Amino acid sequence: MINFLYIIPEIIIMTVLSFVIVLDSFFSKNNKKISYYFVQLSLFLCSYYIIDNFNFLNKNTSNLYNTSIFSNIFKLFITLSLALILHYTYKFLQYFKKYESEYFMIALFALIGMMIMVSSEHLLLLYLGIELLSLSLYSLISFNRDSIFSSEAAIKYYILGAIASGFLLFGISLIYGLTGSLYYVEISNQISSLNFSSSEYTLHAVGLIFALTFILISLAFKFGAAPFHMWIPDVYHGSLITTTLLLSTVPKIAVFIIIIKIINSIFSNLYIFWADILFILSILSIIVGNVTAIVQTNIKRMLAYSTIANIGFILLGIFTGSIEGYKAAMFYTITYVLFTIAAFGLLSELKNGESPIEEITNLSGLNKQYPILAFIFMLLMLSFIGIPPLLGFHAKLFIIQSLILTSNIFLSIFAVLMTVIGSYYYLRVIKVMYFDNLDNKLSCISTSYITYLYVFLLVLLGLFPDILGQISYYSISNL
Amino acid sequence: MNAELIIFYLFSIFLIISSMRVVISNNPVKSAIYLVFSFFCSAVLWLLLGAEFLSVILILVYVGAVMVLFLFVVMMLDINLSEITSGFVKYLNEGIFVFIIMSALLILFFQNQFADTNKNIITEIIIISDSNTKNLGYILYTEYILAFEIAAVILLLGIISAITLTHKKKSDNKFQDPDMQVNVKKEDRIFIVKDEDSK
Repeated sequence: MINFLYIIPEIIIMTVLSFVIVLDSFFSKNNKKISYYFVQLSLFLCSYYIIDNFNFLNKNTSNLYNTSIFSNIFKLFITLSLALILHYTYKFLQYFKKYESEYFMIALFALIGMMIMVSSEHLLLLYLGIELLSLSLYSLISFNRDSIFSSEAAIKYYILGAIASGFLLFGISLIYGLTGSLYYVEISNQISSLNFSSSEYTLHAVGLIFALTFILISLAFKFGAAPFHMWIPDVYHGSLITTTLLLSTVPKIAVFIIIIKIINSIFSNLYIFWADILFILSILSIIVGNVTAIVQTNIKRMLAYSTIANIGFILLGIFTGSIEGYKAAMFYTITYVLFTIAAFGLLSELKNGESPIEEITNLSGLNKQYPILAFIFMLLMLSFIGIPPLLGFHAKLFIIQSLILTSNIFLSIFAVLMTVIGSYYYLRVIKVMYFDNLDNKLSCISTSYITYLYVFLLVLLGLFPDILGQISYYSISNL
Repeated sequence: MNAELIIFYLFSIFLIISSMRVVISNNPVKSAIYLVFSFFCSAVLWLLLGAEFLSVILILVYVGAVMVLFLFVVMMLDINLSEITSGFVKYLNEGIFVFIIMSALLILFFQNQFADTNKNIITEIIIISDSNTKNLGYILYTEYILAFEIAAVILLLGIISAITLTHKKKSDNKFQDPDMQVNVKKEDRIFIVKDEDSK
């Protein structure tokens, strides 16, 4: 049985959600935005209770559901990031007259899904969490029904996502058949009691590797790693820019946490098998992402390929299998998410004529009209490249450091080379903003003080990377 | 060969054939009916395993409700058959390639895995009564209550997103607004034009 005191954050979100669903139908068209404020309120209330949960932590509150420090830190992070994302979304939808309260409700459903994914200690619960998240993402992607690209992206993601879920379920069922349990702890006990030397194929190892491969393929699909990355550019391109903002940030943290949990707490004894899989995934992701991004003209597509490349770096950190590698991967994920929120958020605040920003050339001459915004966007791009005082530099540094510590010298050289190739397309954006002629149609849809404050905090965080480093180290050691 | 084994093999073969026909069949209505049949066959297999509650639920819910709805939708949609079947030959080679690799791996795996072991690895099932239904209900509402609740949340999400996606009025739709029709005034419809010539 579960102690319901520990899942108060989830209960709060669900309660407010049910309340808003009913209440929203009574509002007239002009008052629908009250629902948005309720949603934001629920996010802050939820984060208050998550912080409150730190006071009475228990490593294992239930076999099914884990509310340890690790999951609480990430629930807090996801909730606050979602509050910021919804702020941008609200302003964007309001300006382009696409506002519907359902968008925010579905985003809350996605939040519940991610919280379940972070906390689950049971494969069935994990599957339900992933389904909750994916289903809400499908409907958010197809939200912009006037655009044919949006429907196309949603259908593509839906079909591929269903196949990936099928793979995950197949892997889970194989694990149940082999170990007789779905609890992470019991599966891991079963595997370690098998006592096979990892170099030779024993009977049991074959089955476990089979299951492991299926689960990793499905998670790589959800993460967007290279051979399974085909949906990312189309989906990012097809959906509204704020949906892309939501899609490319918080779900990645949740999927990252599952990957690290599954690898670290279930399959830690099978290191040599999953290391190979992750190695191939990460190398392919980095190459495909960085090389293909060079030829993109659409800024959402370009950032989509940069996402793939970044995911390659994250997987490279996990691949080392050391605590330093996990820490570096976690640091990288958090950095990536923080900066992607800023980048897409800033893009959602600009418009070209009467439509949102689509092409890179839409940004031309941004410096002449909005020098502060151009400077901020330059900082973000420089951080993605990995220029020293910014957070992106430390993230890349830690990954390369962990590679060197586990004596993967060639891989670290490869990572540095690929960073150099990748810097081309980020620098091109800076060039377009600073040196091209002004496109007079460019304008800003609202004041962006929150962006200023947020990026200021990010720069400050980059000057003191120790804070984030401590957090990721602390959470990894409490995994 | 006892009766149980005969039933098992018979319905397994039926299951495999009908599942293949779901994919191969040209007519979508036929595909749906084969799907119904394959659900029925797996229900029989579950019955053989002793899971009588689940097998009855499979027939009641899937065959009785879901598939009938599905058939209605398939019949109502005007599906272009030639478009569906056109890709079949085109992707046949790749399909066979994937099929051979997957089935070879699966055969290897199952032969190795369960060839010599006959032990029951699933332990510690809380049994409170002989009835399958009672046990299932007990475990669903105690140990897996959280998963049960989350499944309910997923259903709610399904309802909400379906309504959001279909209910939204597209800007180019021609629809009548009863509110506007009732509130229409004389001035909205009739324009009195002074006839210049009659003066």
